[in-house]
Amino acid sequence: MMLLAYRPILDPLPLHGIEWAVLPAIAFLLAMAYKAVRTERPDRYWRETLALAAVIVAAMTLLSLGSWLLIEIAYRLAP
Amino acid sequence: MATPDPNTRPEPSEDRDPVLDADSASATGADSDHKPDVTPSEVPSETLSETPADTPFDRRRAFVPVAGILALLLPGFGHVYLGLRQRGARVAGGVFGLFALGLLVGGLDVVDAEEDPWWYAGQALVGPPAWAANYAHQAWFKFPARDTETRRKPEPGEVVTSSGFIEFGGPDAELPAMSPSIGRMNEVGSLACALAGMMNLIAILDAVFPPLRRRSEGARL
Repeated sequence: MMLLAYRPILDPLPLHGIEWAVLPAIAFLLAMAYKAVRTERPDRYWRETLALAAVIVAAMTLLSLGSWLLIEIAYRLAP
Repeated sequence: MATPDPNTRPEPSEDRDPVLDADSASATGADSDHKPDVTPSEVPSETLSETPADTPFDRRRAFVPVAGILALLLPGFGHVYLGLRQRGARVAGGVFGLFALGLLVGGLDVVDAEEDPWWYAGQALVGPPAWAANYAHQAWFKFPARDTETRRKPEPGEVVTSSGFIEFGGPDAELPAMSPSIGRMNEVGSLACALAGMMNLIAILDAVFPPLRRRSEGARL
């Protein structure tokens, strides 16, 4: 029912709870714009774009994992 | 042991590094009349102050303000103006893609100069698409409330009367013309649109001050 009522652009996407699924798309588009300006080798553009997007996703995943460990585990070990 | 005569130049020895000697002489500024015992042809090109154009070592940049204005008016168009069509198309794809993704995820509600001015400061750098989205949001989807007369979006359960005011419509009221986005969807959408503006800022700066080495790609500099 929620999807039937969804109106693109007028309503937010019904992804509550799985917002993280948008991260790869954001990382890829961001890398696409950044590498379009910064790359010195236009012939390697897509490879560099994918590499930067992968680095962003990996870094955000590790940061999330670190935050989770800090909040869920580390505080239990505190005196 | 003979003392060296200060008026005579030391003999160059074979184990001295001509590049380091040239750098140290220029860095200290001492003995300005003394020329290093090397010729420019012996020094690697990247150690010279003027490196050959069209190499990654060439840090010189041009100044093209028109390209910057065009890049602000249409993302990627500044690079197209410089003759870098492929770079321009890729900038446009990335910036427009991020902005469209933000609108899709968070809805039009994420572009709001009145309620989220700091987010909009970044989003506005996308150019006319962001300005148009904000205009549409303010002009078409916000109405004055009957009690406070402040302009805002009608919430679920409220209707816009024929006189143009927001009033309580009861539980059977139709859905508002635009739903407000809340929580993480609003944050992700706002972030994506603002990132689009930040990326276009990088493209604008690159279009205003393009590296001269882009001549090798066909840039008109």
